[in-house]
Amino acid sequence: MIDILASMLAIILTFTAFFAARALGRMAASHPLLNPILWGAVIVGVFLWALDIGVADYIHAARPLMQILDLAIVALGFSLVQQLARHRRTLFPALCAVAIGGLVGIGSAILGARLLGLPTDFVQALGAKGISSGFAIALMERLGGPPPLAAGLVIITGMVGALIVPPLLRRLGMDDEATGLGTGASSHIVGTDFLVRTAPEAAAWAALALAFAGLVGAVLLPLFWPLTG
Amino acid sequence: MKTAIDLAIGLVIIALFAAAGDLIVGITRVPVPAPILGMALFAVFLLLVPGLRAQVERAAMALTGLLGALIVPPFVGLALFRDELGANFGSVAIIILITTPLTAVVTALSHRWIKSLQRADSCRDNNSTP
Repeated sequence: MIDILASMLAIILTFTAFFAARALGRMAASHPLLNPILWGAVIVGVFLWALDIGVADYIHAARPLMQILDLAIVALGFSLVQQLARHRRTLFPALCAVAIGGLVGIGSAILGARLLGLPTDFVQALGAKGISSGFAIALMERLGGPPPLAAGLVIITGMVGALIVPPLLRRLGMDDEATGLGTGASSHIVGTDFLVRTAPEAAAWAALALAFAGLVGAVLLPLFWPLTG
Repeated sequence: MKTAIDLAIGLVIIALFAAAGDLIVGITRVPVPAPILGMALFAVFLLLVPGLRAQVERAAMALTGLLGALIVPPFVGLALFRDELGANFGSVAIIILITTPLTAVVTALSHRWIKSLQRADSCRDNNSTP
């Protein structure tokens, strides 16, 4: 009974914090640094600190949300199909480019982390940093990596990418297609969300790239996994 | 009323694909996460049965709209790695700052290159046509 009550309170706290952070972000024109996941987590963290509740206790109580997360990942199949239907004629180069980018992204992050001597859990989490958070968490749970560390690094990567990738690709003379694919493949949902407001044509390509990059990651990361330990 | 029924049917269909992903991963032990396999099966099914897209749209959009909120608890869990993150901050920052733009540039340049190859191919085909 107490467990059910704790879960209900954890779910209410999580949703209230997230949607409050999102409303605040919208008031500030959704700047990439005002990511609602980041600031929702900060609100939750402050609340836990004020009531002297442990982070591990909160995560345990919020477990039902992870089951809904699994359903939300499956539901992304609908968005993927919508994007595939929309870009049917020019799909082949886009999917090849995202696959090549995914290979370089995962490989370079794992290689860099190993060269810099990072602990194994960091190498594993950095391998998933270019994959959208939902996919990264599912992959970590399946492969035995650290889901919270991966989720955190994914969101930080998205915020860094949203700030530097679109201007960099424009400076290199890339068109909407290439800018969207590069942003979606490297900075996933945060980068895509930024393009939705600044370059809607590029954003449609970014949405395709982020969904396909998740699938590419699900295939490639298990292959790279032996190199992370 | 119809909206609620559509939503419920859509949720049941999505839950069935999630269960199918769990079942296949449980039986075959493939290293792919069950929800991602479920998503791939769901996408293939929607491509094969396009008529079903309207039926599941409401439920799919409702669930994907919650995605950000559902990621908050694991992100809060980052606090459990506070000390390790502090100790490795420099190396982690270097990797993110280098490999994120690298991934983006490689993806964009690959796209440009593959499209140019396709264009060259189609020009050759047009020229060789009598």
